[in-house]
Amino acid sequence: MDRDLVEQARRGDREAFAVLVHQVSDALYSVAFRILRDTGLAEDALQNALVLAWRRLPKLRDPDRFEAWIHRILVHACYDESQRTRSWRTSVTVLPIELAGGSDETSSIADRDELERAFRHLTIEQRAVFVLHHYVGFPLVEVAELLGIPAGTARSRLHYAMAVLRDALTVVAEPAREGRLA
Amino acid sequence: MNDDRTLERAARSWVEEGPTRAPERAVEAALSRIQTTAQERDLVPWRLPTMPRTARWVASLAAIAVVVAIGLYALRSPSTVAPPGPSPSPSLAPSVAPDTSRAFTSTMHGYQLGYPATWAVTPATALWPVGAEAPSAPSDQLDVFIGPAAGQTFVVVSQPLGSTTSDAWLAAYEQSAPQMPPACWPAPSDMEKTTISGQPAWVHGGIPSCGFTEAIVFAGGRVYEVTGYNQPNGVFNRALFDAIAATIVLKPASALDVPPPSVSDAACRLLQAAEVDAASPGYEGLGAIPGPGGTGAVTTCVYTSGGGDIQARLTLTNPGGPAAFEVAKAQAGVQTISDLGVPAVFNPNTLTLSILKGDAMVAIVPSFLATNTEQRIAMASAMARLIVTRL
Repeated sequence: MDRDLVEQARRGDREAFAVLVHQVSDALYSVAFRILRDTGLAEDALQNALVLAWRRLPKLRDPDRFEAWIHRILVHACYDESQRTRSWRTSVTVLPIELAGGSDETSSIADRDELERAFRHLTIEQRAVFVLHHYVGFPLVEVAELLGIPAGTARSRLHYAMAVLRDALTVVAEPAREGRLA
Repeated sequence: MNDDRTLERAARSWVEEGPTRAPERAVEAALSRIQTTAQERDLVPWRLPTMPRTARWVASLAAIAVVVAIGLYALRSPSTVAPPGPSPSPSLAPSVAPDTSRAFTSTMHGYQLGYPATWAVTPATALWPVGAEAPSAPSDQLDVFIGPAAGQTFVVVSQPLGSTTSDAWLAAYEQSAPQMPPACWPAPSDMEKTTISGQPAWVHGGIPSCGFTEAIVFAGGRVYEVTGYNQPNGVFNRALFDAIAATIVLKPASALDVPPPSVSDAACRLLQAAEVDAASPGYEGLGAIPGPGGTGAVTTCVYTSGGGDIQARLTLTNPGGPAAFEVAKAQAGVQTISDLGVPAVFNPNTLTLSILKGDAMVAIVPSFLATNTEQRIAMASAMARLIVTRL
């Protein structure tokens, strides 16, 4: 991230901020979608996060922390979005059929379907920790710092999320699950 | 599948699926909103009720500093600096009248106005619910008018008063920004008074330390906030503010959160009982009762006084008002009333003032307790002036 651009934007330069927006919006949108599992909600969260970031940018003390800082704003925008609409639990998203991981058993459609269902049963806070850690790649300590929560809480949320996903995949692996997926 | 590494690999593979590019429309929409959004170091006190506490303090202290600095300068140079007046709104008198040639009708908030043809408007798409604090910009609750100069913005928003009164609303409004210096956020009694759409309005702000100029006006059970601001920390052109405000026609009954009138209560929604009281000094009543015969285009409303006496009666004919007015005007002995801004006649035989606006005619019968024709016309005219703004 260009520190000079952040500094210029902090001083009120809208053009500099627009450049920053184009640099970060893809990454932010990707995170928002993966937390909310809904393209419309993710767009709204992205918009609100970008506008809020612009408003609060003068308060960012360390421009080098811009990326983590704006991720924090985005996650909170996702929280707001999920509370505002209350529809994310039941929304349906059509994911692309192309599989990222090839043809191994973990990327089967049944696995993905179960993971999707299981993920939707997580709280929005648990989803955020999971996505920031496993998708963005932030270390768990940094996730905790970013979200303003104790490291133990972040670890607990991730542990719970992984347990739920493990259960989901275990169900897929059992022959008895076929009746449930009709 | 059971070991953690396999699970982690499966979960990562799954979470990586999905879109990785932000839709251009979302990014452009955000950038568009940012064009009209101030950073929080800016003073935007017209939204202070929803600003973070720290931002309010920053804004307040900055404003106080400006006021103190001006005061010290005034003390040091008494011969060259005018004493602060009660209405500190500098007018940027332009050489020509501001352009307000483009019309806008707010179906969301119930009003219409004229604004400069070079400005862009973004209508509100959401209501400002009763009892909720004023929305912060950017907000889909605001009708936003954006000028060609950076940071030049005019916004309008309204909400129903609900169960509160205009006085109580103003009192709460005054309390909503306790840190603001009085120069920016005075008590309503100290605000500049003006008129918008025939209704009394309260204006405040208008100096650099405020960053905004705002008018509050009530009509038909709604409150309207009309605000101009020029960021960062500028003064919205007062001549333009006044010019736009002068074009405002409040139509509270047409706001989206007003339920469609039933056949029988359309006439009752023209005036509140308190307004009939105010127009009938000495003959205060108990409330409004929709007329029983309200079918089709003709509805009535009876405002009652103690003991079953009629305080006032309104009969609304809409549509079909012009034909009904022609009938009223043709009656023997009617007097033309010329100071209401719309065609109006008073029939001294039926003690009825009839006014016409568009397709609607309203027949107003003031309190029969009035002692003479002049008093009846005065009472009916006072009610008519309110009704005209709501038709």
